Amino acid sequence: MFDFIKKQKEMAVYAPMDGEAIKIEQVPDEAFSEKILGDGAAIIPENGNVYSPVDGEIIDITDTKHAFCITTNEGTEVLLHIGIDTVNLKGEGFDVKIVSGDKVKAGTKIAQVDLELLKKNNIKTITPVILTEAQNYKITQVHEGKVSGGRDVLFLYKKI
Amino acid sequence: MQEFTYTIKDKIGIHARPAGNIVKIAKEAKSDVSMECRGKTADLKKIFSLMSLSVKCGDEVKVTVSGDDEVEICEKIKRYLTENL
Repeated sequence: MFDFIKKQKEMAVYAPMDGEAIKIEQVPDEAFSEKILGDGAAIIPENGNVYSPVDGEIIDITDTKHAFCITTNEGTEVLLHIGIDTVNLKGEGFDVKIVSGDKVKAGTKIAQVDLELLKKNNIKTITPVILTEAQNYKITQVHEGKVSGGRDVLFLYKKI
Repeated sequence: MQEFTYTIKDKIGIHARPAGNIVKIAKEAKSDVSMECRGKTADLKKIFSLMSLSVKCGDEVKVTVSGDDEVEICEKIKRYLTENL
């Protein structure tokens, strides 16, 4: 009868790229910093390797190849969005290694991005990872500073 | 039930930023809110659902709002689409 006070288990979202982890509030785009798309954290990447941040299934990849909708094995919806305003590149500079419906593990390489091409086009490379149904979750810890893509935890969260 | 159709004029279509804004309006609604495009229907309270529609420039979308605040919400979404997409 005390099920309701059972502690919800913490789940991890891993860094999708090598680089520096920052708080979502520091992303220079209000769609992310004001959590309009959801809550999470972001990476300032130092190279173009992109890894899945969670164990789960690829639900959708935008036609412009820079945004990935992934549902974790626990049912959490995670949006990985490479760069800010990357939509304007229409897929150029992105080599995607997976297709919708693929099952992935945290750390599975899912894409290679030409960061230099993004920079040449004045597109910020900052890459947010967010939980889109943020009202259902609480972010309990955000890792800040240097992280290794696919290996280090970016943030922890639990169901509320 | 309220509904309207709208043809997307924005070159990029409904990508993450507008999707976030549309879902924000829909999530605040008591009504059920959906969008239909090319035979697929999305729950506008969910980012994933809307992004999976891959709405592009030139696509006609039909928005349906059903519930207590349907008139107000339908108007809000219509205004957002007209002004931004």
